[in-house]
Amino acid sequence: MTVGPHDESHDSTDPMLDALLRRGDRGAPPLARGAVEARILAQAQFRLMARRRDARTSLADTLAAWGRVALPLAAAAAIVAAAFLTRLETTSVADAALRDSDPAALMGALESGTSGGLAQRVIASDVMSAAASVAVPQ
Amino acid sequence: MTSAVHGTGPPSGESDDEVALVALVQQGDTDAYAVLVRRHLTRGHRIAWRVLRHREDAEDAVQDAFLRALERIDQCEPGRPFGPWFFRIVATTAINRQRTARRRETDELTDREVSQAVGPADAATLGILQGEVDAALANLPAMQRQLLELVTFEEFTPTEAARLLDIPAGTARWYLHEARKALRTQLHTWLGDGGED
Repeated sequence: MTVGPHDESHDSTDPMLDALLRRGDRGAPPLARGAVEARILAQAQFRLMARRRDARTSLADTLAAWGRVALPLAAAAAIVAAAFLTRLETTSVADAALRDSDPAALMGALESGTSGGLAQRVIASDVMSAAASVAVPQ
Repeated sequence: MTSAVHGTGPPSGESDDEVALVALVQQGDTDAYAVLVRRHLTRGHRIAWRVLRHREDAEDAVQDAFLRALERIDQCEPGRPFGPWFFRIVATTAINRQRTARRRETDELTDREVSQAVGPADAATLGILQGEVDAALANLPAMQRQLLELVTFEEFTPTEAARLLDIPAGTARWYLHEARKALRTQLHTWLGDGGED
């Protein structure tokens, strides 16, 4: 609702009138602070308790939601990482050693224990080679 | 009593920690809520009294306002001080109470103790002045009186008072203009030469 003209001239104060009003003002009656404070706090207890409960519930819900998403993601990430690392160990190290025809590096890779399936592959390959060499003269 | 924050809040140091207090109250912290109550009770009560001019109603209004503020504490904008937001709730609560409550006579105020520095003759004069000021204020339309009291006695700016009472600032200035004009007429005997102050 808009009433009357709104130019700034209506901001003009009247110091004499204001001083008179202040002098004649009885002011707000004294407030029984302690009693009113106690009433407010007593009435607020239930609402505050409900807020604390909601806050706890909200935190638990948030954690559960994160758990539902984060745990499968973490598991999937661990599987991918393990597969990648295994592949890295059994291919790049050994391939590099074989390509460079560096027997020492190959032996190192075999003996390090970190190359996993590479030792089995080499041993299996040796067994196959031995079997073939035995079979050929017959 | 004007503070750094719109003139309606606590001093700036307090308004800073009020942001944290509000966040704690949102989590249900009783101690934080008690601090806010202690800090704003007196001024909230004075605002309610300026609107209602009734002792018990003003106490009830400020009590209701604190509970409403707690219910709506999530609406208190993050980073903004609690005071101005709360005082607006006080004013709204008081105005609603005034609208819905059955009409009652203006509270019969017990006279506050006259300053001991004032002699008996001055005390009598002061009593007369208080009675006439009360009567003159009571003759004003409610909104004009509320605005004038908030601006003159509680030191809100017209814009702040308008915000508290939820009316446009221009309208508030016009109401103040009209209220002062009416009061000058009603209290002219006190404002003449050799009158008050």
